[in-house]
Amino acid sequence: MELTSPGAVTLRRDPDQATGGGGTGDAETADVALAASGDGRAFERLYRTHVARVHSLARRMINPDVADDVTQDVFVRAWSKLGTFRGEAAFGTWLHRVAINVILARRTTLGTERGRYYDAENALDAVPGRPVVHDLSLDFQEAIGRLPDGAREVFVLHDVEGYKHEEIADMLGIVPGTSKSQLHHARMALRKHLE
Amino acid sequence: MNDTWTDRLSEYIDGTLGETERGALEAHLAGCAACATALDELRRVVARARALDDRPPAADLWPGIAEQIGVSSGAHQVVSLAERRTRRRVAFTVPQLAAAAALLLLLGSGSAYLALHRPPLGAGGAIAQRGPAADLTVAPVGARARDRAARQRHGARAHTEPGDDRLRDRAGAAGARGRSRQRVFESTPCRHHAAQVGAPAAGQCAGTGQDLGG
Repeated sequence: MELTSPGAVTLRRDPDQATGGGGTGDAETADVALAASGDGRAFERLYRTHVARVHSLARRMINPDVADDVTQDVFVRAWSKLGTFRGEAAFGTWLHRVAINVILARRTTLGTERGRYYDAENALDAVPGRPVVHDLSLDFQEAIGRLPDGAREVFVLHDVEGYKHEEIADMLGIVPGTSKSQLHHARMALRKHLE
Repeated sequence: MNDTWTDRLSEYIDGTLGETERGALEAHLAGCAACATALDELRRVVARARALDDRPPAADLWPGIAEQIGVSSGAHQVVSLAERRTRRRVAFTVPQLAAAAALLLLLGSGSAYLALHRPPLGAGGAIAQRGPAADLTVAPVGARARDRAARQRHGARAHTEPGDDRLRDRAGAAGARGRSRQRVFESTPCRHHAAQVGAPAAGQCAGTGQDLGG
């Protein structure tokens, strides 16, 4: 499933702004053009701007242990496909779709299966109910990581990344009703880990 | 808490319930504290998810990426990934290996042919017959140089000395064969220079100082 075409993606969080790295405007457009022509320095600037978002996506979608490796793959893939970027959407949006493609492909190679769709609510019983550290965000993210694969993917894509159920269903090869159901189960499980 | 309604809370939050269902759920929430509490918690989950910070990796991943895409992470020397792959491909392709093998075969056959069909030479060509390749490349130059020097010294008298003529002719013939066999030598700057200046008798290249061995 090729999702590199930005299409009608409507993210709640503008990827370029979410990074906080100033990855918008003419400077980034110029860097994209330079990188497409083979300028490694320009591509490094794009990397610096977007790496936090890509790495966070990989960490939440798959596994923190492989997030570094997946992030590298995303940027290598983006470099090789820069010629297909037509500027119809923000570079960050395009890169985000490339990242999702790479992550979903990696999930397949890792043998990750979406087989625990309906156990989400009880899946977090092993997670400490209250944070033992002061960084509540980390505890919440740990709880996300312990969700069943399907529920975690839908939750991250919908509530964190802002995709619609129809888009998520297309990405994951499920029907929108399953996406809605998984999202609800994930939310119900995660509410136990709110401060 | 009514599971029928609880399962619709997320859709209610996301605004995807129909108008009729939304009205019925709101009526239920007014009298069900458990569902109202669950709704509040779900809203907080959504708010927390949207507020998650993006954190960069603990280690800088750029050096590894730069290596994979073929750019230097230090000096930023640009080499595209496609170009890098092309280089690798060219270095190990079967056609290239076949071409190299054909070239070696051609050179070997040519050398064998020349070795087997080399005509006997007299005294004038003796230098060219000594065997080592270096001598073969030098002999024609020396012979021709001596020939020119003889013409300059003796003028028309050379035509009255048949013995010298024979030697000169043989030397000239050896030189011609040498030129056709030794293309590599012909292409050297010093060889060109020797041809232009008439090749000093001592066999020393006047332009480069290279020893021609004559």
